Amino acid sequence: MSDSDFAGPRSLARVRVISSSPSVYSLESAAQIAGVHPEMLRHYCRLGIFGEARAQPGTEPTFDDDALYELRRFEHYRRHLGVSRKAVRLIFGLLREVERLQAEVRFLRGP
Amino acid sequence: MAVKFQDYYESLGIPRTASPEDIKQAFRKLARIHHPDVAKNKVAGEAKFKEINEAYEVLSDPEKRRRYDELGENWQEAGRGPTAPGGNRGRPRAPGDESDFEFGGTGFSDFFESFFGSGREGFGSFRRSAGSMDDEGASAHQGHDVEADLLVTLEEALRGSRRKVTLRRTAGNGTADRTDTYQVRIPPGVREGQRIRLAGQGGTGVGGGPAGDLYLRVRLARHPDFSVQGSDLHFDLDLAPWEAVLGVQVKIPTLDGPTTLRVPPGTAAASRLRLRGLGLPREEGGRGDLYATVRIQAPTSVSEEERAAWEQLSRVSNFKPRKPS
Repeated sequence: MSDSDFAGPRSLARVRVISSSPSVYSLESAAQIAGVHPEMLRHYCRLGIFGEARAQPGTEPTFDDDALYELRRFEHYRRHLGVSRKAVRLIFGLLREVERLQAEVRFLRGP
Repeated sequence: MAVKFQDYYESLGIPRTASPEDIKQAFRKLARIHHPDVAKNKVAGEAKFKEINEAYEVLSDPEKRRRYDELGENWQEAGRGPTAPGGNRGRPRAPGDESDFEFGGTGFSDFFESFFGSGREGFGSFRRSAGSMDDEGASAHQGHDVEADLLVTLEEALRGSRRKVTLRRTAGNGTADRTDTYQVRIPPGVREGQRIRLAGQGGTGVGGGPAGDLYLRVRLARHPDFSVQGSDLHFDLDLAPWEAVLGVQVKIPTLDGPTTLRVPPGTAAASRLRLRGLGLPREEGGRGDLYATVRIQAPTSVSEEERAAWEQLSRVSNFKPRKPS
């Protein structure tokens, strides 16, 4: 527990040092964090939804923070919003395309 | 919680009728003065640089500018409405589910985060949705993931940095606020849109469920001189017509300090001159390149003597800029 100037009288202030990089997760730990069975995640990778870019032949794909974020969101849509895997896959394709286009537009608008 | 309205037009010192070009010019002019690398007063300069970046982020995007203009005076009502972007702010929620988050040190104001940030609700975001609101009554479930934008300068993206980010959670049910401070390490080579995960720092789990995660989404700060494309940087190099024809040595800015660029004789407009390895770090190692794109500027008014010289040139020159039609 540490004191800090922005904490009011009713506040609890805590200071944590978080090392945020470089985060690389194995398939097993990514599956655990996202709450999916490792076999299911392997299946997703085989379908090309996750991990394909980083997979070396003969090795299991690894996951970074972005991939983990997407995987968690994927599972959220599927489980809690009742969206089928096929539909989530489509949504993800669209989201990635939107992000790519946003970055391109940002570049074209210039500084 | 008090979200303070940000007057983005005032930040850039422009009228509400400003054209996109006016907005760009105003931003570049102010960014040159307040950029953290050049500002005389580092602290004040940094604060102002963040402010104008945020203003430019909204006003340079026609869709965001339209939404901002519509918000206008009624922004507080808009923020409280059930369908508005910041609609959940301050509303009582399920047990263990914080009703509000207030970030500090991300480089964006709470106003921006509420109305224009990655974390706001709607398509493509899940600031407080994942794992929280849909299985009320189920036993244990995981807290929601929380997302916020993190402004990162190009210099930080090049060299990496450490940033102090604070997150104040306001509980709606009368329990004490909680403020966490994180030392976030920004790795060199961080990309636009990249997310930095702080495990277990999102919403509190319910019924003994684990906490959600906190994701900081990198937004590269606009630089007065460079625009970013992947790991490459682009710079507009303005030349006088005779410089393009005769060649010239010019001093240009880079993230590594000024350098001299040799422009060869006979350089056409829109030529791209490459400065190898002066871009941002590449994912696969090494660095991207810096491209200087030539723009030939013509004087808008000339003296008598200059006019005479141009007229003489027009008589002796065989140059034909247009193909015969």
